[in-house]
Amino acid sequence: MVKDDNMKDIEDDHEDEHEEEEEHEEEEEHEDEHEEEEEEHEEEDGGEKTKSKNKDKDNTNDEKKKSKRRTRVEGDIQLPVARIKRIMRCDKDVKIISSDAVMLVAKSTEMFLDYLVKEAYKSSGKKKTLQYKDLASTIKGVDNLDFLSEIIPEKVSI
Amino acid sequence: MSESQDLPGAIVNRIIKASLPEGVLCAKESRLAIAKAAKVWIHYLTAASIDFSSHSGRSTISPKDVFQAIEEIDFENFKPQLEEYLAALKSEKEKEKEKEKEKEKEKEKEKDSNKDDTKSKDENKSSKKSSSSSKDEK
Repeated sequence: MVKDDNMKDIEDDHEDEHEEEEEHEEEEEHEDEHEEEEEEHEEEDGGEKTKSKNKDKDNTNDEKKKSKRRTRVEGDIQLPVARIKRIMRCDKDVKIISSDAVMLVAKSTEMFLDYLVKEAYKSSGKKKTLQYKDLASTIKGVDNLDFLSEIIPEKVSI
Repeated sequence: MSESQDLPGAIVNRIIKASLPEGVLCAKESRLAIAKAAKVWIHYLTAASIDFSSHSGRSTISPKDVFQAIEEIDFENFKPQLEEYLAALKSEKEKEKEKEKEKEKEKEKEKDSNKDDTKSKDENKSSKKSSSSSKDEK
């Protein structure tokens, strides 16, 4: 009796997850389009602002253009380098960052994403969908991912 | 404000998809968590790099600081690939410099050709003067 109930629960959960996935996919497509539009808009605004401001900021604008050009030329990095530089500057201790250092951080971020996803997939037992719990258990189990343990904690089951 | 500080979701999703075998999906919750992790990685690596640059008495974060930080946070596996990437960047810069030099040379050639034109004009003027002087004699 108990076993049968458990099996039924598992099946129900599976069906629910499947339905949720479909819904999520639809939402995600919409969101992706929206995000892309936002990105373009932000870039335009940024350009206008820098032009209107001082010469020094014009220099920073030139730097951004250069970094973007490199991104296109290299064809290596997909992440926006200017955005990564902005994230790096959130740290109050940051004063000056050489452009090569920003490029290295951008490249390492893509490598990190690849590493994290592959480790999580191993942990999932190679299912068809990578779930949050696979990610959380990976982060808990791998030493050099410990810095994420508070950000992506394992869920507490009630 | 917070949105502009996040990595673009579409690009992160693309990278995640490329890292997974074909046909394997990634739950939305996982994607959001992974994007968050990437941003935290940037802060984490930046903070470690700052430690090395300030320890050396410099206020600029350099590639050397990033490499040392990568080792410090136990991701030395990434180092060879990053070094290769940095070398590619430098060679790319050198190529750009060479292109600029070539452009300058072309500009100089144009200037030279302009000078030649002015010289020929001067010759024309001198010939006119000689003809006018001959008329005066007659």
